[in-house]
Amino acid sequence: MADTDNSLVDSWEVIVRARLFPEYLFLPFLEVILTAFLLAENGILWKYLAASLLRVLTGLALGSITGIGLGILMSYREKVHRALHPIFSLLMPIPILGWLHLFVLWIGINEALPILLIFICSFFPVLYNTISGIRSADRSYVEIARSLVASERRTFLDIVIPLALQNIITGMRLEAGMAWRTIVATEMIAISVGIGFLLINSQYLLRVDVIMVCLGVLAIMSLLFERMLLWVERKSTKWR
Amino acid sequence: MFNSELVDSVPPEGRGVGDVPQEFTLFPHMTIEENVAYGLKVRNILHVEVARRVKELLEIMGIYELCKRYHRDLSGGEKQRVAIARALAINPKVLLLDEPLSNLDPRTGKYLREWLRYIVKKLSITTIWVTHKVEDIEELNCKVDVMLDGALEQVGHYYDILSSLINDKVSKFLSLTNIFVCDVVSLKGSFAEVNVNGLRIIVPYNGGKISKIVIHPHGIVVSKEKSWTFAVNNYNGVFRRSCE
Repeated sequence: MADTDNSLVDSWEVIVRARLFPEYLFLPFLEVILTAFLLAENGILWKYLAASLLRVLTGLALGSITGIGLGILMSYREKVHRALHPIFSLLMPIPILGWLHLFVLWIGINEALPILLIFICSFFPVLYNTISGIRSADRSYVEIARSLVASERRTFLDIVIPLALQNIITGMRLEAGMAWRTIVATEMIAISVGIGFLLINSQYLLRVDVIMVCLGVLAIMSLLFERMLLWVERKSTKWR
Repeated sequence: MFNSELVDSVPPEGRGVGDVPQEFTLFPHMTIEENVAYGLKVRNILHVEVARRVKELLEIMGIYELCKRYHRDLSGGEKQRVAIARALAINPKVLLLDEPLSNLDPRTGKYLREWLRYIVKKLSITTIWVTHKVEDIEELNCKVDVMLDGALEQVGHYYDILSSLINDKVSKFLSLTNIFVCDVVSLKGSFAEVNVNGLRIIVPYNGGKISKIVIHPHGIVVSKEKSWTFAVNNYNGVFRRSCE
């Protein structure tokens, strides 16, 4: 990691000193760091990051809970699966930002808009990973649990869910990064507080340093989410 | 029928059978002690009592020191012991062992066969041992039900079955290759002397007509020296060749 950081800073400085781009378009690394400190000190960075983070967390939580719940229902009730699967198969391939314009008209420009988009972004992968996780849980484990007189509910909670957990968390992990991409795009278009808004605003003001800080923050947040969920995945499946 | 009670209408989980599957099927996300404790925990038995029973069973099985491990860290024989401990934890009326040695190498299988026999006797539990291996039947020395194509063909002690084979299907299943047609020369109490192509052989006799005898390959010992065992049938012969 330290080597990667060093090589990034080195390459950055080489590009700056080689004057491949005008200095106002590609600033020295230290200036970007200084801008980050200033933005952190005056509170703007935290305010905008907190707004985006709250939306991402809310959207991811709602999407994951609904995805897991419906995934369980669709795995255990064939009728529900047959009724919903064709609809979801049709809706899932639609790019997330494709929904944006429809939702602007339906619910207006407010806090619900980015949350709804992140909800959709996390819902489908978690739903289908939950279904595949439950279906891939070996039936023989269920039969043994039943032979030990475990109720259907206990078998589900003690055997099926722990065995399906890796698939479910993998779905969430993959979509955490996607959620950050979605929030930035939504905030750029329709919301006035958030990292996406800070990005688009900095473009209008020709503040390349702020844009670079925002990109760095997004990279760190995506990586942090990915690593945290990877940690949860490893902790919950340490038996593998 | 268990204990003279019909169980046809009772669901499998209500029959009180301790099931030990062929693949052992230990819950992979649980430690060994959690696996054994599971059947007790779902019955809402007190934690202290669960811990006591688990310890007791794992000690009987000789694997208590492995209790915190996961199944991936165990050998085939150890996995099987855990599966048996898990099945026994719920105090079943019957222990069902589904081909318990089929996933083990022959050496471990031989050792575990002896061990299983010892454990079953020690715990005095009715055990159904499903097997395709004649060695299991031979060494367990217990009552055998020969089932072929879903039908019960013959019931009895292994050696009784050998001495009164009902049909070729059973003898083929038991891999009984050395079956010879014979004539009875004389009957001496619980023994009979028979004639197989001029060779006089003493065989056990428990009444009834003898028309065929089985010489199990495992029962033949070839030796250069004079045999000092108490074998009844000893013959001199010329060694021609060995077969791999």
